[in-house]
Amino acid sequence: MSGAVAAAPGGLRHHWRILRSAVAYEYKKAAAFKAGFIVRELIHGIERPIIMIFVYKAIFVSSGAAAIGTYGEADLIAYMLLGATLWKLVFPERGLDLAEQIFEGFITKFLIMPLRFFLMMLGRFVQYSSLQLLIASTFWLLGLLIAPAIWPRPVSAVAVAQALTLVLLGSYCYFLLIVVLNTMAFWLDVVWTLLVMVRFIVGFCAGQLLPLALMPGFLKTTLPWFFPYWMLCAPVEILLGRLGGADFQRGLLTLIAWTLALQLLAAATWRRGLRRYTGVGQ
Amino acid sequence: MRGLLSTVRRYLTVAGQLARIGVRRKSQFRVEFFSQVVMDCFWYTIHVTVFEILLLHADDIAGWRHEDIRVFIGFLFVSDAFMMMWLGQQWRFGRDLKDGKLDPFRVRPVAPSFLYFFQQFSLEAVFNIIAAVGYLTYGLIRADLEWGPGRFLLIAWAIVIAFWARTVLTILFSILEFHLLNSDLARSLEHAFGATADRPLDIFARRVKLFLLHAVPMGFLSHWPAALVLGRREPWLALLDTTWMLLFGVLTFQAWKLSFRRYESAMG
Repeated sequence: MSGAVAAAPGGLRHHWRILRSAVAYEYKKAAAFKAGFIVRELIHGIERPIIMIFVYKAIFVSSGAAAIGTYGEADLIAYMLLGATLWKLVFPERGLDLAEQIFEGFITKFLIMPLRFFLMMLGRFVQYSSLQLLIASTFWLLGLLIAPAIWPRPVSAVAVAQALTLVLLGSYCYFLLIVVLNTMAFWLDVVWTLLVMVRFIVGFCAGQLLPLALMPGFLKTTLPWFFPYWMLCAPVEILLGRLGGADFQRGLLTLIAWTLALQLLAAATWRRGLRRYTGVGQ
Repeated sequence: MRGLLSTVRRYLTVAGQLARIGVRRKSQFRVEFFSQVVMDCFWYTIHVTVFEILLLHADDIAGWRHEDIRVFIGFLFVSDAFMMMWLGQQWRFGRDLKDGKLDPFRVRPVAPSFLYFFQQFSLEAVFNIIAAVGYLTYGLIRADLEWGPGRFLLIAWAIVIAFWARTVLTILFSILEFHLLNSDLARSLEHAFGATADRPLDIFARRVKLFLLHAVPMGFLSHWPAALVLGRREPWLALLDTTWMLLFGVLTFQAWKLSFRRYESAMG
């Protein structure tokens, strides 16, 4: 994605410097909301999985069964806790304000600067992911200290590396999807409803509340073709030792294919959108 | 009595004007209109789907049978649609407070809290409330209830209390913003506690359930109304609950009023 007026100068060093500055500014912005920052980051993404633990416990009590699908009670609790931890790494749908900037006509200044506008957005993704890696690790360690009896531990270091690779790549796919939806603002007036809609669907397909093993047959065969499943459900199952190396390879290939497709789509909607952009807002 | 009626009439007149402005505003954003209706339908579908899948694996959840869960979800949808219809401005409260944009609400034909939080009437949510009432009606029909005038009264009672609780909770969470400016606490806590209203409170231990009914009364959004209509709550207890909820609301409005005194035009 390049600017409309000025051609972005080449050179990896130049792009790297801009990306570094963008990440630094994103950190400053995030740190400005001190009280809210701490509360928001602690709570972010954990409330629904934790409540689902109570739902599953109630189901085990009322059904008297030892397992739901292929999951026992302890496995489901572990799935929910690891899911809540990994969900912290997933880029939030409100993480970009590109749509508002297009709507207000504020992106003009970026278009005449010697930089690729995509780098600014990428800066936010890098800042978010690096910070959330720290927060998710802290959250997991705190859980281990507070509730060592129930807190899940990954089966191996290799599983951690595989799970993190899938989550981060999946999060990047979601980030690209959010970029595409934001660029819809060139055609539509307001896009926040699209973003929320997609979040509902992605959360469900990712298995945020229900692991794939509990879903009906047709969903079990369909969902692994889409990136959300490999972004959360599969990494959690890798950490629990329910999926192995072959599954990781399939997930990696699926995510790479999705990344390429979404990257091309984002570039196309940006370029086409810029042709409509008047710079005066709507 | 005449004074009370006149106050109610004044509030209704203001609400009517806000609704009229809301309808006009929506004539500007046509795509947005349909988009929001579809968005909420997605939310409904995913909610129902999650419960339907869970109930493939069990006959009930914490004593709530499939039929009861439908009524529970119906009340959740109705109270959520009320929030979407009238209380959408709550998401901007922290920012407006920080930017010092509350000045116009000091000039008060009605209470500033009412004027602020009810200012964004959403026409699309009218369609959502129709869908939500439709699902609630479906749930009630499938629940094998004995029908009579008393049942209709119970449903009306449950809905009114759910709407009241939704308003009170919105005001309650926003109070924190006055004391911790720029914290975005109202939204964070609303998200955190909001998740508890999505499931029947019987999944929790007794103390947590009591906390969510009487301290931070999230249970009044969906659990309590469904329990009342399904006969899971004794009428005399429901009367006590209602009295508490009304009193809690009045205290919350008073606390908001006191906190509003901290507001200065240049908070940021």
